[in-house]
Amino acid sequence: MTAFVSMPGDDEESCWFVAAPGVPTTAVERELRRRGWAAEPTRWSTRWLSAAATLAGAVIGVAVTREVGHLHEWASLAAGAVLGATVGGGLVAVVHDVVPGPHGDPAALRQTVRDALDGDGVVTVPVEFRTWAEQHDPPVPHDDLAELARRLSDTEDAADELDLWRLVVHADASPHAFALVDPIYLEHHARARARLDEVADRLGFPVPASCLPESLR
Amino acid sequence: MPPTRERPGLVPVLVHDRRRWYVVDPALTPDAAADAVAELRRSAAPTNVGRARRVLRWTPLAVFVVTMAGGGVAVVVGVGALPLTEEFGAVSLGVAGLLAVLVGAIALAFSVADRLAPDLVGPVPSAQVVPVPRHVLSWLGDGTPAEEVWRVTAAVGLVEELRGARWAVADAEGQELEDGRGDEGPGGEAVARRAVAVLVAAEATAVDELRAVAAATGYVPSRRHAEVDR
Repeated sequence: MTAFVSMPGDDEESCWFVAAPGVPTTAVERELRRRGWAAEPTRWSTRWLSAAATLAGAVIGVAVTREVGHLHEWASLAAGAVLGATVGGGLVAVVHDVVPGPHGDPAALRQTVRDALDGDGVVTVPVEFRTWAEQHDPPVPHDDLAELARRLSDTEDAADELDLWRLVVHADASPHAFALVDPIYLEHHARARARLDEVADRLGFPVPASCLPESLR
Repeated sequence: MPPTRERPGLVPVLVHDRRRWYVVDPALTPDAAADAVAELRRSAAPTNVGRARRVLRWTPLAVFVVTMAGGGVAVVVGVGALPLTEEFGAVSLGVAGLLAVLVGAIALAFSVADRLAPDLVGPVPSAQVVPVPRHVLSWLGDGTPAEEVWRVTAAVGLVEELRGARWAVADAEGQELEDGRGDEGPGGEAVARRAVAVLVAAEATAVDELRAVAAATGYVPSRRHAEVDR
């Protein structure tokens, strides 16, 4: 069984490979969501609760304005209703964010997952990698997958570095600096790519285009 | 003391309605130099829009202020005219109205700005005709040979370019670290550090070169360019 976590994004799916042994993918997914990779899906019960709290807040606001404040004009009642609704809806939002859900992981597991995410126990990989690994027959050994995933990720990072460098320093505006530094980034990417190709060729993995810098595509 | 008259190799060009001094590569033949200067003047021409357009660029701010003032007065007068005696309701209504006017004024100012005052792009930078830095301009006189101005300008420009590139790299890397994307192992940081080291070394050479050019021409480098900035 391969260990992947996928999350739909705005334009493309994000995918992670869990290389560290003994780390459950569900815990990794929860930690990634907690870090803001994807919002926890809003349940209908939460929506109804928010609506009810907002409505109740408005009613209570009007009642307080009338009975406690002894104000009876329409403008005062409207202001009271808006204030009450804001307080009611806001309370639900705060409680929803602060009170942990039923899926709280034990602290030790959370720490393991965090260490894996911050180290190289969990690797960001292209979606093509997941498709390839899951369709491969016979299944690829876990260690090979982990090595390939790390080299894929390193190559994509090097490609991003090169693109970022070319974005901040332009060849026509700073020709001297560009001539000095561009080869460093090119060579950095070429080295990562060579290390990737070595493993990819051995396993028969077709390297996706995302491993090439956009400025070289 | 800035130059007072145009001469071969040192020409004033009107950019953004201001006179800027440019120095021409002495390696160019007179004809090629004249062509390069004409090309620069052509590409700088759209930035000289005259006083009327400069005033027009302030329109969005004027629209914002007028809308805020007019809307604010209207809200205050309107709420005052309503048959309300309770202060709580009247003040709430006024605050809501003022907020609505503020949002509307900002939106209106932005939509006016998009239509009225497009950004003016400067002239296309040229390798053969380059602007003389302010500090160099204060040093040269009408008697300084254009070739010396070119050498000094090129040396100062090289220091500036390498320094700017280094800051750009360090900046991009710093942002990456702040984004929390820097935890991708030593690879990314190491390559950026190597790039910065190369740029620092090149800047040291460029500073030495500038010093040599300065000694040969009598120019005194500004403090900013007298040593490697760390």
